[in-house]
Parts: sequence; structure tokens; C-alpha cells
Amino acid sequence: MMTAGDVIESYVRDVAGYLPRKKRNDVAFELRALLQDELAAKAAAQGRAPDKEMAMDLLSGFGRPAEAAARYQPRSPLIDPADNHNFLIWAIVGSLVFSAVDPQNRLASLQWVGGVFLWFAVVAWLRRRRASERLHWRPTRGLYPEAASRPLVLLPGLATLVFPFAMYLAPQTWWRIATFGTGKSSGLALTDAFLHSWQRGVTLAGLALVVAIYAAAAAQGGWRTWSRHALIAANLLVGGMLVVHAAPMLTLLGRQTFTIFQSQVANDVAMPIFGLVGGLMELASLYDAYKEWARVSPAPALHGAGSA
Amino acid sequence: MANRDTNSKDSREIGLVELRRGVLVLAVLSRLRQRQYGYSLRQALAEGGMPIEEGTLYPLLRRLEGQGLLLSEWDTGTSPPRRYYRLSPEGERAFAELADAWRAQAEVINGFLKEESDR
Repeated sequence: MMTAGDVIESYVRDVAGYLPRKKRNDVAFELRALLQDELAAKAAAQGRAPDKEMAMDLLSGFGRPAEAAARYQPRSPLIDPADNHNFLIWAIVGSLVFSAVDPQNRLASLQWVGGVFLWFAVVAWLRRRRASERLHWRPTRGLYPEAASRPLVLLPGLATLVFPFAMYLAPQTWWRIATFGTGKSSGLALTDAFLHSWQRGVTLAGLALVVAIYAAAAAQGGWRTWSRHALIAANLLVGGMLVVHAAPMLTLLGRQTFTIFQSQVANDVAMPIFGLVGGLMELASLYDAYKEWARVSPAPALHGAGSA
Repeated sequence: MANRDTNSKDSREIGLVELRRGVLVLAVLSRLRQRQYGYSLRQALAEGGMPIEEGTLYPLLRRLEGQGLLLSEWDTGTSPPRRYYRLSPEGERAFAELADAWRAQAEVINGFLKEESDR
């Protein structure tokens, strides 16, 4: 049968366990004395001897031992509370994407969440130490500004045209040109089945769409709602198709399997890369979609307000 | 309707807690010109009209000591032994500054409240 003293001893011991070693004894000694004072006063007020229930009632005012210890020794949160929103978005969307991309690997989602947690924890730690000015907020024009320099908007489109569009279209030719005719391109030879596959057609169409959207945005001197939405959709399409490339290819009719490259080594190397790049593209596009949904443009507006 | 009343009551209680939290340090410093141990300080504050939860007050004393505003010493002549706190010279200065700031704030708020009651 526990006495009131046993309850207090147990509580003090548990609180002390959460404190830094050099503080433990001193705080525990004082806390025990204070709790004994409080208990004696409570017992006197109630006109009876202290018992276990009375001690438990007293301690409920202090909270769990971990909470009491945190008041003596405040701890910094592992992730800044202000970052909870972003952390949840990256963790949830990322784990959903990894579950879809690699359903066989059941640990992939957990590994992703762990990685995101570690990233945010390191950022929080660096911010507290003020080690990096780069982590401070800085004004930006946003990824897709409504008014932007035409060459700057066109540049990513041209880059997409060179890589990956041109490489995907004719990998051997692309490699020969990129290496000024010195590189061996035989390993990049495509199979006939892949050359005439719907997967290749849809991927090329998606990449061409991405290039066309950048060109249109450049022509308009900046991004509009339609071009932002179209780019997100096109990137989702291309990312999804790359993920499809990471699995054994199937013909539309007959569901027969075929490979992308004639070389088995090239297939073995390329397929995981397709999956990774496709997964990252899906993740980034979903994040862009979220940013688009949360976008306030060009200035906050009152909807349904009768008067300003 | 009942839910709205409960929320409104909760908001008022949160407001009162915030208000008291803001002046807690000043109240504690004001009672520590004479040495006190934790429980006696809590009693003194309660008798003065400011009851404070024990779980809040005792860690606060440690933090104020850590900030150099309080000095403490164990008195082992009592049973149980007690840790007594009192203002340090730095605590005396901090108390004077906080008291001035409090009076200035009180004057401002009183002005606001007077404007409201005159309407």
C-alpha cells in the first residue's frame, strides 16, 4: 500500500529523471520539500492525515513529471512549431508518392518521413544557433511571377528541350553529339517495341507540352493562371510516365512485356533512375499544386464582403 | 449556443491567465525583498490577492535565479530543509525598472478605460 510519502518520492524521482544530471539532486531536494509543505497544508485544510489520494490530487496540479521537468528546464522543440505545416505537407505527400512509386518497399515511406524530420530538425537547430543567414526569410518574386524577363522564363524550356526531351527522343544521337562523337552509344540503343510504344509517345508529348508552356509563358512576358496550372499538369504527366518506365513495360494490347533498351545492363541502370526522377517530379509537382492552391494573387481580396 | 458560451468563457479565462502571466515576475520580485521559501512565497502572493499555481511558481524561481535576479540559500536548520530566495542586486535593478514600466502601462490602460467609460 503506497503512502502519500511514497507517491511524492515516486513523483520527485520521475521529475529528476528528465533533468540534466547536474541539476537533478538540487531540484529534487527542493521539490520534495515544497511538495511536503503543500501536502501538509492541504491535510491541515481538510482536517485529516495526508494519504495517497490527497497526494495524487496535489500532484495533478503539477502535471506529468515530464511537464514539471520541462518547466524547470525548458527544452527546445525538435521541429520549430512554425514549421509544423510545411513538415506535415512534405511528410504526408512524400510518403504517399513513395507508396505509389515503390509499393514493394514498405519502409520507403517511413524512411522518407524520417529524412524529412531530420531535415527540419537540423534547420531548427541551425536557426537557433543563428549559424546561417541563408535560413532567414528573404523576399522573392516567386517561382512563377506574373511579370518576368522573357529569356529567363524561356531558359528552363530550352533546357528541357535539350535535356531530357532531345535525349529521350534519340538517345544515341544525343550522346554522340554531347560527347563530340567520342562516346560509345551502342548501350543506348532502344528496342523496336519501345520505339513504337504508347509509353514513349505519351512521355514525348508531355515533355513537348512542358517546352511549349515555357515558350508560351515567355511570349506572354510572365506566368498566368492557365500556364501555371498547365505546367503542373504536364509535369505530373511526365513524372507519372517516368514512374511507369521504372516498372516492366507492357504493350497496350495483349499486355506483353518489353524492355526500353536493347542492352540489359542499360535497363538495369536506367529503371531505378526513371523511378527516382519520376517520384521526385511527382513530389515537386504536388507541392507546386499545393502552393498554387494556397496562392494569394496578386493581392489579398475580400470575397463576399459588402464594403471595405 | 451553449458551445458558444463555453468558448466565450474559455476565451475570458485565457485572457485573465495571460494578463496575470504578464505581471507574474513583477509580483514575485516585489515579494522577495525579504527572503522567502517557495511555499511561503506562494502563501504571501495568495494573501495579497494573486494566487499562483505551485507548478508554475517553483520553476519560475529557479529561472529567475538562473537569470541572476535572485539569490538562494539552503536553510538546513528547519525540517524539512528549505531553500530561501531573495532579490540579488541585479534583481533590485530589474524590479525597479519593471515597476516603472508597470506604472507607465497602468497609466496608459487607465486612460483607455476612462475613454471607454466616458462614452
